Order: sequence, then structure tokens, then C-alpha cells
Amino acid sequence: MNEDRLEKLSAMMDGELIGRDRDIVIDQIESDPETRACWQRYHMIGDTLRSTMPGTVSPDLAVRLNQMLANEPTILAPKSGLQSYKNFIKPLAGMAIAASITAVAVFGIQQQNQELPGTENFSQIAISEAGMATPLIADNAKADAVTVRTVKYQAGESNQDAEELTPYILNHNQHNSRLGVQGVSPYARLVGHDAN
Amino acid sequence: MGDNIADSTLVEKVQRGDKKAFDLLVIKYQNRVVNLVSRYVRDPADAQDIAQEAFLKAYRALPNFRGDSAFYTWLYRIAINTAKNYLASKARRPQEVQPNGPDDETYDLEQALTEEDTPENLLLTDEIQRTILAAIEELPDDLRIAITLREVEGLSYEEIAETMTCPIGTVRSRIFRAREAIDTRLKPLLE
Repeated sequence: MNEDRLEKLSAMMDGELIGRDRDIVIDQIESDPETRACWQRYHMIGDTLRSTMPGTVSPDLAVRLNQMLANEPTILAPKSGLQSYKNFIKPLAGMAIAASITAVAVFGIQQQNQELPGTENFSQIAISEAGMATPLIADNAKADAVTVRTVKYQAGESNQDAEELTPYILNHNQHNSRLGVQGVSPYARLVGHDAN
Repeated sequence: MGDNIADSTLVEKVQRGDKKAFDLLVIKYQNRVVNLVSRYVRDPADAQDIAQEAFLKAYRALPNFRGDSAFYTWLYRIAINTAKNYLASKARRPQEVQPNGPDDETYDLEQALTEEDTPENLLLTDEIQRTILAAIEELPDDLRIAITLREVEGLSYEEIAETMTCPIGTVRSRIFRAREAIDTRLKPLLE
């Protein structure tokens, strides 16, 4: 082996060789037994200096392991490189989180605008209970999409109370929705009171 | 740059199907792993077997290694777990009866020594260490300091260049010449 190759081997084991030179040195260690032995001795020097040499050296460990690995399937990992994987996964994870938040927000708004079971669109409120013949709100108010959960009054309740309360509640909600101030009103349970 | 860069290059090669690249990692870390495992088991042969098992597990798990930690940190955990599993399984096994135990007058030392723990191997290990340390002592100061800063302190070439106030190329050359000088005396022992 010439000195230049060995110096590159030395630099490679210190992680100070890059690019094509590094690949060439790795190929040489893999293919040339003499270079492989040199790689082993250089590491032995480092282990002795760091006091990480075991009490008994077994130069055959790598050989035995090689024989065992011969029976192992060859690894073909899906990712091409660790660094590229890291570079790729970080922005992707950020985008995934952002997409999740957007999806939750969109889905939440859709849910909010949908009628809940037992609710009716404001313009469709069954105001017959209040004894009124015509709807209080025009159809164009549907866009406001305010929903009110109606609660059935008990039998025998006073129609007079309902007549007093219903227009007030409806007007109040219409006013709120037109101002775009929804607050908790879409979720509010609007109730009258039982005079009895 | 450093060890991690060299390791991740080799790991990537293994992950792309280059089995031989794993051999380079084994050679690099075999002594460290055996030394680590030896803290858990006394028998050098057991330590070798556990280290071998740990490397095998590492190879099989390598497709899942994403480089979140350094390769050696990952390998270290595998080795420790393998050693602990070995001890746990050994504790569950019934004690073997040794007809020629250490208390027996007929205790045969050679019988107790395993394949790895032969007098030849112990002598060789001792000889290797003495040779390397003696060779380092004999190195010129600039070479000895350079290789010590690299191998013991783990400094990069750039850091060594700053410490020794010399160009990086000189550091690279000094470290190589130090290794070569030691290797010249080490090589005959291993042939």
C-alpha cells in the first residue's frame, strides 16, 4: 500500500475524508484484506489509547460475524440516506400538523353550520306554538345560519307567555347573526318559562 | 466532521445492501463492545458471544436506524440490553454442577479457561497493549500530542490545528505518521 492511500485511510477513520476519496477508501477496505487489516490495527491503537480494549482480544470476532452475516438477508432499507431523510421529514411533519389543524378547523365550521338533530333553521322555526301565522324572519336570513334549539313546552303551558317571549328571542338572535357576532348563541339552549 | 460522519456513511452503505460495510463497523467497534459487555459478564467467552449477538441484532435492526442518535450510542444500547437479557436468562437456568469446581483440589485451570480466554490470547492482548503504549512513548512530541488529542480527547482536525497552531493538512499528516509508527511495531504481533 502506498502512503497516500494509508493517509486517506487514517483521515477516513477520523471522519475527515469526504466525497469520492472516502468512497474509494471504503471500497479498498472492503476489497483488500491488507487494507482491512490496517483498518483493524489503527482502531486497535485508538482503543488502547482510550483504554477500551477488552482483557482478551479476539481478532476472529469480525470473521465469525461475517460468516453469520452471510446467512442473513441483505438489507435494502427504503430510505436512501439518513440526512436526506431528516431533511425531508422535518418540513413534512410541519406541513402535516398544519394540514391537520386546517382540516379540524374546516370540519368544525361545517359541523357548526349543520343543523343539529332537534334544531331547525331560524326561518323554519315552528312558530305555530306561539300562535303566529307567518314567519318572523325572511328567507334571506337563512344565510345567517343561526340555529336555535327548540324545546317543546309542556302540555297546557300558557300561549300568552310564548307570544311574549318568542318574538323577543327571535329578534335578538337575528340581530346578533347579522352583526356577525355569534358568540355562544348558536349553541345556546333557548327556553321560555312555564307559568304554571 | 468526525466519527459520526464516517459511521453514517457506512450505515447508509449497509442500508443500501452493502454487507461488507457492516464488517467495517464491526472491526471499528468490536473491542469497545466486548469491553462494555465485560462489565456485565466475567467470562471472556460469554462477553464475545454477547458482543457477537449484539452486532447481529444491530445488523437486523439497521433498516430501522434513522440516525437520530450516533451509531455507537445505538449499538451501545443494544449491547447493554443483550447483556442484561443474557444475565436474566442465565438466572432462570438451573445451576450447572461443576465436578471440578475451584474449591476442588483437582481443579483444572485449563478446563476453566474457555476458547477466548486462552493463555495465548491473554498474552497477546497484554503484548498488544504494551507495544502500542511503548511506541507512543517513543513518538516525537508533535506526533504524540496530535494522536492523543484525536484518539483520547476526540478533537477534530480543525480543533487540533487550532490547539497546535498548525495547518489542518499538517495535523492530518502528523496523525497518520503517528499511526504508522505504532503500526510498524504492532503489525508483526498480529501476523
